[in-house]
Amino acid sequence: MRLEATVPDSRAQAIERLADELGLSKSQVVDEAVSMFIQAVSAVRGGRRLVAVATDQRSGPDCLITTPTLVSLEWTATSSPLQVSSEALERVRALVAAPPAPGTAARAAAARFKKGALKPAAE
Amino acid sequence: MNGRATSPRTSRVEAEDVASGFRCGDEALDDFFARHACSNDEREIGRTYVLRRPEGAPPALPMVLGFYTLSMTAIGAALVAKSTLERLPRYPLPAALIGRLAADERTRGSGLRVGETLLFDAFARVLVAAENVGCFGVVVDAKHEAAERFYRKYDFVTLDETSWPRKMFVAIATVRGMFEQA
Repeated sequence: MRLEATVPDSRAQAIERLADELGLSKSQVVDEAVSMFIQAVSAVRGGRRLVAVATDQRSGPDCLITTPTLVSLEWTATSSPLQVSSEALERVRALVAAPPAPGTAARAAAARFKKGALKPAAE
Repeated sequence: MNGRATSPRTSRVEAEDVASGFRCGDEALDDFFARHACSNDEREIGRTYVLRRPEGAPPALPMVLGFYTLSMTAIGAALVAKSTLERLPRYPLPAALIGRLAADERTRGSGLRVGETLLFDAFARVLVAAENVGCFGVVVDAKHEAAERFYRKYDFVTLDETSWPRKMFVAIATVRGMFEQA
């Protein structure tokens, strides 16, 4: 089967570089990457925690493989109920039905976050 | 908005973070971080993300600048009067819960805006999650007036003003708008 996908330029360049370095076709690189992603999603859905592979406790983990989707799957895997008053629930419903536009301070903060106010970034 | 446009700057808590001597000045939060953050994370009770000191930052800053916890919740009514029942959704509303958020007290005055960075880092994670799971908004617990003022600045609305901690809520569309209009 042939699939088409749109990915960032940097990712496409990385695929080409990897294929060249490893002597694989681009399809093989993508196939192996997708295969790993499917395994990881399956593990997370099965309740398993994705962990780093550590060979030496003192030197810390060798690597940590994850993606934004895997991370969100992990913390959204469980849910606990939150009970509020009927008035509070009605307020939530009103905010969801007619979400207020973000305020100036929040937009400014989001802009700072996007620029990386804490640069150099921790990750 | 594509949530991936704003990559998180935090990482999942590890044992060495817990042993790093984090202190925010709130005994309950410090105790949680020292004793329960890692174990809760391992037991799938809730994820804890830490913001570590960036490379090149003054060494006087602590290794862990701050942390927050994320989990999913379902907001439902504890007691619903029959007269209002018909006007309310009959199912719990799924939302993200930032259960705890704290900055180390040694970051105060550093100009790093650690609390703000933690909050928007959590928003970034929630927006990614909202692409995959149902999520109507974000809930926080404001434990005191200063915390309530902090969250209100970023568009959270207090749901119940009768007790502490105050439950506060912001709709996911409002959060998305923050990043889109930034």
